[in-house]
Amino acid sequence: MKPSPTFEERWKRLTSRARMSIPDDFPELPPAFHTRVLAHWQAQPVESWEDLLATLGGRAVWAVVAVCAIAAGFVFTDFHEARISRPELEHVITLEAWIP
Amino acid sequence: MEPPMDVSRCVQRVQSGDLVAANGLIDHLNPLVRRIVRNHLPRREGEEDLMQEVFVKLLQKLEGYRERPGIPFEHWVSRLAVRTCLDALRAERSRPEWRWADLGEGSEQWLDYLIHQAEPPPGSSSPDALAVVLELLAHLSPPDRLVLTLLDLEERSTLEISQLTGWTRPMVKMRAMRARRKLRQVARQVMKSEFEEPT
Repeated sequence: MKPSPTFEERWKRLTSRARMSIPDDFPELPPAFHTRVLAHWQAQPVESWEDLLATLGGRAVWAVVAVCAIAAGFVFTDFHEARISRPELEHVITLEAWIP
Repeated sequence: MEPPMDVSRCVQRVQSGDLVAANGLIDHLNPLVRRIVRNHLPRREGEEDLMQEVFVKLLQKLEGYRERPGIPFEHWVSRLAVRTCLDALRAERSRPEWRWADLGEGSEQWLDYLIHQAEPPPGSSSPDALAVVLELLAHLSPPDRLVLTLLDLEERSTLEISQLTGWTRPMVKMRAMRARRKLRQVARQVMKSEFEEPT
């Protein structure tokens, strides 16, 4: 007895039948189409790398300055904060945990 | 009979701003771009609207195009067209609801065959088969839809898909496998909703 086809096999069969109905005509484009495409192309020329860098360069500098300022702020507050040093903390935990 | 177009020369002319050459290039690429757009068209978008988007993008990016030996210009165009279609599919916000009642009789038979291994599908119902396939694909995520369309409808190899999409080959295979699994769930949901609804 022939085993029934799996879902993948049935899907393949379905798509192979569907392919027969995909239209394969390629009508010519209307003249207005070319005009529209060329008009859009001319209206929005893609920016060159130099233009892009010139535009983004200023913003990048300000972003870097802001990040540096925030980082400096963190370092300053961290430096002045009273902290328990790690060896002391470990020492206390060790004594509490193991020596009754 | 017209001599075949020298694509390389034409591209160079367009790069130097020749509008007549740009017109010629658009006509030359029409079948290629139309075929890709037609197969990956979002529901609410017109074929020529998306083609226009592809061509505008193509002309804008053409300045940066550099010819590479052994790789035809058409590969670059196909890749750009596929990516533009993927963006358009991603931009399509809502996916339509789909019910059993929306299907024609032939499409119902195909869906029944797909899920329940019912009767073998009728011989002359390829438009119905296409309708079911497109409906099912429309319910997948854009990348899943793209990979199954390229693989199963356009019969492209995983290598070609990898080149067109920029995904690795294992990624293409994995995505296709997952997409088929999701497809099965979608088809089952449609069938389930049919039997749950009051008559």
